[in-house]
Amino acid sequence: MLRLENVEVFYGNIRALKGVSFSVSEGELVTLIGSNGAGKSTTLNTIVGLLHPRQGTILYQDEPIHHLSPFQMLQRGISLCPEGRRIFGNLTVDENLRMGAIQRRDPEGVRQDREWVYAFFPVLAERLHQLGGTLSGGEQQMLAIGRSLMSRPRLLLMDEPSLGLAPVLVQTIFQALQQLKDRGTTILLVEQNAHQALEIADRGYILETGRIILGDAAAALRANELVVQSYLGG
Amino acid sequence: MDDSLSRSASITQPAPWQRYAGVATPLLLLLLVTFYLQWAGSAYIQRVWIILGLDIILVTSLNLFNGFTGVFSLGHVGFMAIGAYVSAILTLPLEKKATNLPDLPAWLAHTQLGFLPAILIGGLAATLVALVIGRPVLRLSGHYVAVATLAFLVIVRVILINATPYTRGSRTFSGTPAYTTVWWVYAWAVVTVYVAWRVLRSPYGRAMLAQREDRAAARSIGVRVLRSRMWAFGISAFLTGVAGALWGHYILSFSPNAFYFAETFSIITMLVVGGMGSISGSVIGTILVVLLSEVLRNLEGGFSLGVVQIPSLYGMSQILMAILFIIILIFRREGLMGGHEIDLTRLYVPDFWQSLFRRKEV
Amino acid sequence: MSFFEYGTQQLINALSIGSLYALMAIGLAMVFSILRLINFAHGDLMMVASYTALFLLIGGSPFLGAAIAAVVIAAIAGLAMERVAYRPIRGAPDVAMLLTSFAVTIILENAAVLTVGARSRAFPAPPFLSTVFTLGNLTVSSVNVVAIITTAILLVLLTLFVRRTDTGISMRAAAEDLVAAQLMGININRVIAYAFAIGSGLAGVAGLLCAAKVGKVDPFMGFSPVLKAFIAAVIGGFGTIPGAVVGGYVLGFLEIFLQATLPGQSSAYRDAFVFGILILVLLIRPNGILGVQEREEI
Repeated sequence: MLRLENVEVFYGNIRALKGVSFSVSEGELVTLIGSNGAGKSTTLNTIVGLLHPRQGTILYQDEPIHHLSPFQMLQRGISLCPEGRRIFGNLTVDENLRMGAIQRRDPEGVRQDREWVYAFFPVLAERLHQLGGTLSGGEQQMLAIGRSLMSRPRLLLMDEPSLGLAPVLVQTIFQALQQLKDRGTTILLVEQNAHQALEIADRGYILETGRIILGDAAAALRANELVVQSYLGG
Repeated sequence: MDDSLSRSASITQPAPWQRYAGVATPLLLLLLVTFYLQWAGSAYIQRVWIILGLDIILVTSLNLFNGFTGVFSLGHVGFMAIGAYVSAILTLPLEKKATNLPDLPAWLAHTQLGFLPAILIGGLAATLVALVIGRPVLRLSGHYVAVATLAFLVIVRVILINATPYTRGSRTFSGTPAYTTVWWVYAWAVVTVYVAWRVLRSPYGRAMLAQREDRAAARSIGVRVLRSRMWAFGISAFLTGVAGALWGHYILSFSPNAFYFAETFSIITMLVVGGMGSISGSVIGTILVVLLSEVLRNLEGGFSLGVVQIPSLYGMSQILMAILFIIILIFRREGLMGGHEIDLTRLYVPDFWQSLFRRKEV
Repeated sequence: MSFFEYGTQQLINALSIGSLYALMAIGLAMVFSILRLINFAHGDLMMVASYTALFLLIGGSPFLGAAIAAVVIAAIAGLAMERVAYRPIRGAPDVAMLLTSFAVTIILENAAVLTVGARSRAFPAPPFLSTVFTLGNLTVSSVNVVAIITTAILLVLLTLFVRRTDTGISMRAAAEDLVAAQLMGININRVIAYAFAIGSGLAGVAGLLCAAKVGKVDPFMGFSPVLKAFIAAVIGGFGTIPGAVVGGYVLGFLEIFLQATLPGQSSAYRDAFVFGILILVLLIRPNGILGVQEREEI
């Protein structure tokens, strides 16, 4: 479904991604693991169109998309849940969710998706008319995920959803991701919490200073000595 | 190792004589052109030449501040106004003071100074004001400081309009003795360019230039940023005030409206065309804009383009200059010179000519 | 005249001027919040609307028709401004955008001088805008009352738009976090177009009211109001619509207060005071009364 080929991304003169190539098949949950500054966020930002590669191609359903804008990406069903949540603090929970669905033309489908979001994150339904900025960190993260889901994406890019959250909340979020996967959403998950990520992922890639150094089935990665030592606190 | 050292030694610093030659060339050219125009040029051409010189002082002194600090001062014309009015009040002959400015306080009403002292005092007055408002205003960042300087411009104008005993309010201030000659103007222009050069090309200046875009780096320098901004502001204000004084004694009658947005925009256009941070840029930008606007202004009276008669369109030159301005901002924001300088010492370095010919062979 | 009557009179004046400033400031705030652009050419939209109305009225059109046409033309002018001058420089440093807006002002004002002449012309305001009626010892101009009521209605409509409609909410979202808004698939070009159109339309209304109040129009009529509107927006909290409104009324009250209390000579310095207050606000509380912390992007 998604394929990156030799993608090179620069920040000015700094080479952030060096010949990155990988793929994600439909219905999979693939995780990108790496330490801080490895280029994980850069990868997602490039896929969704906030950045453009200087070289290389990104194919989605065999269509080159690396020159498109985030607006056009969303039209194709690619949605990014950004790092640090970036919910609209001056908007209510309700309005945030509404913004997530802004490109949709099917009110019935939108209503169904909302129900799903409320079912999984009941606290959002409780705080529907509260300003996003007044929610706690965990609630904001739930709102961010909910908001991304409102566009009913076919490919969901998640950037460090568990960052800074209490373990209980992390559980909730990963459960939600699992359910999404079961529903058929393809997910590309960037995580520092490699342990949890590899639990629910089908496959994974290790990113190190802008390069993919390893790519394998999740089970294999979990068993890999090197991976265990470097990323799983082994 | 010795080999590479000696090789790098040949692409060296220009010898002192080459440096002097590089500086002397434009000065000599300036002298020659000025003499020629004074001898053979029409009154109109001489007038344009003087205005060119005045604009060079204005633009270069603004560039000194802007290039050094990265801050855009939209209120600099206010300093020009201060310089003009202060110096004019001081040089106004006593009889004229009695008739035009009857309400002057006694100590001013009986003072009449020569040109140079008046210019210097005008410039210093501008500097004083700069130091006073600089302290609060230069702490701000980005467009906030641009806006604050704009507010300064408006405040200066309001004060000038209302300080009627001193300035005749919004009525024309006239009777200034015609002291300004092309030599005065260009002497000060040379001084201004020299000062700007020293400030911007000093190691400190270059360091400021390099990191003025980088807020994080600038912040780590902290308090010193304010101090260096104040310095640049003060010097720049002085030179702008001097330009105002020269201008006032050239144009001979003026009012507060001469020191407002139209003049501000005109100077900024020259600055942007030439490129901020580059002194040769401000000179070249000024020359281009002044010449272009003169040409356009002459065409405003209507002209014929073959069979088509273009009617008189006053104000069209302004519109065209503004359009040019927007085009530059869109397509070449760093201006013609892009922040670099023309280095005329290279003319005297044989390597330069050799490299020109060498390239042709390849 | 009793103190109460004097106070009421000044209150009406303050509200009226405040309304005009609020209408203008909203347009500035809307555009700034999304684009970080201070559009000084905003004032010329007042001028465009006023002249449109002027010519239509002279041509015999009923006032309502002329007013609507004027506001629509102002909105279109704003859209054109955005498309031609501001879109190509999106993403440029703030100062570059500010300077461009100056260039646009010069173009518009000179174009106006070229086409309609620099002299001011009388504005034929209809009776309902030019009556003066007395209530006891009070003298009230109808234009002030109309200004206050019209602004109130427009503010209500605007609030509904910004709170209830998708586009309105998108505008608030884009103003807060442009990147996140893009990620949600909000059509940024459309949102910006709306901001310019609505803001310009409001400026058009302000222009008509101003023309009726002052009785004449000239190519430079928008120049001073836009500066004042800018101060209003900064005082209230630059970048937010409620801030612009609050700032507008605060400035209106401030001006009337200064006018009433400054001794004769220095009331002429009123403008200098107001600009001095701008500098003060920038220093002490740059985020204004309803301050919004700007997201600091390093």
